[in-house]
Amino acid sequence: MFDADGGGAATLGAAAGAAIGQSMMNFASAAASGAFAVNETGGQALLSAIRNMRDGIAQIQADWVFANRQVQLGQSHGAKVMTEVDTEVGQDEQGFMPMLTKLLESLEAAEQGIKDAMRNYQAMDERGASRHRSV
Amino acid sequence: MVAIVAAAAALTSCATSTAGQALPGDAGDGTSTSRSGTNPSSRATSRPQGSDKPLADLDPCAVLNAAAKAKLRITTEGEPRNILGSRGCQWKVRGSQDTYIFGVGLLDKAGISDIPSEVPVEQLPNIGQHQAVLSRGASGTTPCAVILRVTDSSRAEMQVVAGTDVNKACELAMELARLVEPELP
Repeated sequence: MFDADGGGAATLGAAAGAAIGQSMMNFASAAASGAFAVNETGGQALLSAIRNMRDGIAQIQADWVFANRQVQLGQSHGAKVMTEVDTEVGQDEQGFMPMLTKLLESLEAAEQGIKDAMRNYQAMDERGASRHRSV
Repeated sequence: MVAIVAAAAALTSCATSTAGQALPGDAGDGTSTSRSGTNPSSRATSRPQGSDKPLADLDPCAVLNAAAKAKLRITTEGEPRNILGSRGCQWKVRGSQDTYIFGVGLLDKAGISDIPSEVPVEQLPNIGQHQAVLSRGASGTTPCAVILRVTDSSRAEMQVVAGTDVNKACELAMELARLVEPELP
């Protein structure tokens, strides 16, 4: 089960990465337009979870890149093939690392969306309180 | 797929942290000691340049003294992190937006010329007495490293991750390398 081009898995990965990115952008723009709201407690929990994910991705990137500089597979034909495939899998546009970086960017958009949603909640709450006082 | 599994296995099996311990200072046996260490109990020590493993006695967590850490806004102790054949240490700085990861890795058995050819490196002017190259990974990767030659078969790597900002990571890796360089043999 060896596919030097990444085959369907790479295409699927790229499609999934693009879909996640687009979803996060839609989420952020919906929040910015006031389509939904999140209260302070829920929002902080979500922001904390996103932050943990971003930290985890940073650590994976740090370890992977560090290890990648050490792996010297040799000069045999097999090693040369592996070197080429390793590089492609890790670093081409549909590779593991670029996908992680895209996920990181998506999380930035999600974070912004949640902050906007928290502001929406606060604004809603203040409007509700104001109506209540005027009754 | 094969490569992903291999890489994941390498990381999970080799990136384990082990408890590190700062080495004592100059034992009077001809070894050199840190030129800028402020805490004698945690000073980095090193063998003379003629040794076949000049980095063997250098504690990667002791290469940043208090002043150096302050310049990088590091307020935590280093955490030993050994990956594959390297001995390393990392410090995390949790900013408002991103957590920056500063890493130092010491390789006793691999020099700059042993970096795989598919990993792009750029020559830099020497830093102090050491030949230096920059490795900012390939497209899509965010860590940046400055690598200093110690001997033909040993090197020190200073790597930084700064969220998705590669230029910032390179800027900080340069600063880290300048601070670590005086500690290297």
